[in-house]
Amino acid sequence: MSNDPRHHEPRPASELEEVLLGRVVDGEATPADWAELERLAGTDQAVWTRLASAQRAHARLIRAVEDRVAVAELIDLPRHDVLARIGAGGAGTGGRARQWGGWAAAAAVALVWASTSGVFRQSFPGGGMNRAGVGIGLAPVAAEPPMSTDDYYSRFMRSGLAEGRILGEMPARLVESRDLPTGDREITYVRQIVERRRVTDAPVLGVSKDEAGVTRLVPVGDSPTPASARPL
Amino acid sequence: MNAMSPPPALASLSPDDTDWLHVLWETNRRWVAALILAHMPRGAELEDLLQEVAMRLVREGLSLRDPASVKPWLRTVAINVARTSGRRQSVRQRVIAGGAEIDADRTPDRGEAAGPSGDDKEQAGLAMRMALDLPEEYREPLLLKAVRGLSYKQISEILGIPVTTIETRLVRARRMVRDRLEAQAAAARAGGEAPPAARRGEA
Repeated sequence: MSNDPRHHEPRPASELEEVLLGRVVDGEATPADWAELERLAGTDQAVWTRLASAQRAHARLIRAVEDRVAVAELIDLPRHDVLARIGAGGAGTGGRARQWGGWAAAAAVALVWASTSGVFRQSFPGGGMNRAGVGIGLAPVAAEPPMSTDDYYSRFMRSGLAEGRILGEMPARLVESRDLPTGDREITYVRQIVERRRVTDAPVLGVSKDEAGVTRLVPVGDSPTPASARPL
Repeated sequence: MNAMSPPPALASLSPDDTDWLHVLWETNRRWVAALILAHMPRGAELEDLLQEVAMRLVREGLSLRDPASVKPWLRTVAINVARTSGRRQSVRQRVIAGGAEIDADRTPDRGEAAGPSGDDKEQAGLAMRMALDLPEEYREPLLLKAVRGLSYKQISEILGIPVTTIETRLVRARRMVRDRLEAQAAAARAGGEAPPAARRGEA
């Protein structure tokens, strides 16, 4: 036996097999454990069947738990200064954050709208102004090299934070999570950006409430409303 | 409480650094989620509760000078958030029902209510329900062990109990789940109703 303190714990004989199976299933078995298990299996071959069954049961539970806790990967810490600015430092933070979550989601929708309606394209490489003349906080882009969506997003966030236009990013909200045949996982989520801006060109964005009373920013004016800006 | 060493990424940062909190959160958020899952009422949203824990960490985490106190602190906060949500939900359910009490604990959550799309998923869902029906002292280590990468030692650090106890509880938890599944299968074969799973907190 090893120096592992687990081996010094006296156990009823009936528990020995279960303990050994548990260690194997959990990846905690030592060579001594394996030797003991093989000794047991020498007198009862069904031990291997029970091991397979235990591994299958544990794999199912892992899958179920991993499915549920996958959402944790999307929950990032809110920036401390953002919490302070939106008043989350006091009581009732959950409610306040949720209240702001609506605005943040609206901001995210606006971001999607801006990116799909050509605002960004018109901003690059001319820089910083959309067709309505409202600065959107993007620095001019140097010629090429090609940037990924993440690069653009990262640049947008950095620039916005530097200008004070973006206050921070709230935790993302998971919409859907599913396994892919490749073994990877595909997640669909909403990013929530807390933005502050002074609007001088009122027709660009309007504020409306949907049937549930949730305040939303919606594009108005001559631009057709994209699907992404419509209530879900 | 057992001594704990901070994760490598954390060791290089000062607790005064807000990056310290971010590393801390990213290192621990999966088991925090599992722990919330073990304690929250079934109608609650795991995502919302995780966000509450994250906000608590931002507000109060910089006061955690001792890295060894982090996991116990996170565990306490996670359980409190989950239980508080249960109390809030119970009150809300009673209000909605106009005084007719509804057992919020038995309300299936969205994931479970969605229905299985295949046998494997169905079996995984069943395993989860069985695990959630275990008494707390068995439910916690079993769910934590199902978070990939957590060792007995790490679980013992989180729960503040010896490794040998963790192992014993895992053995008993699995035995209980197995016995209940066998009883359910036997009942199904007999064409009768499955025996009701033990309620939370009952040994």
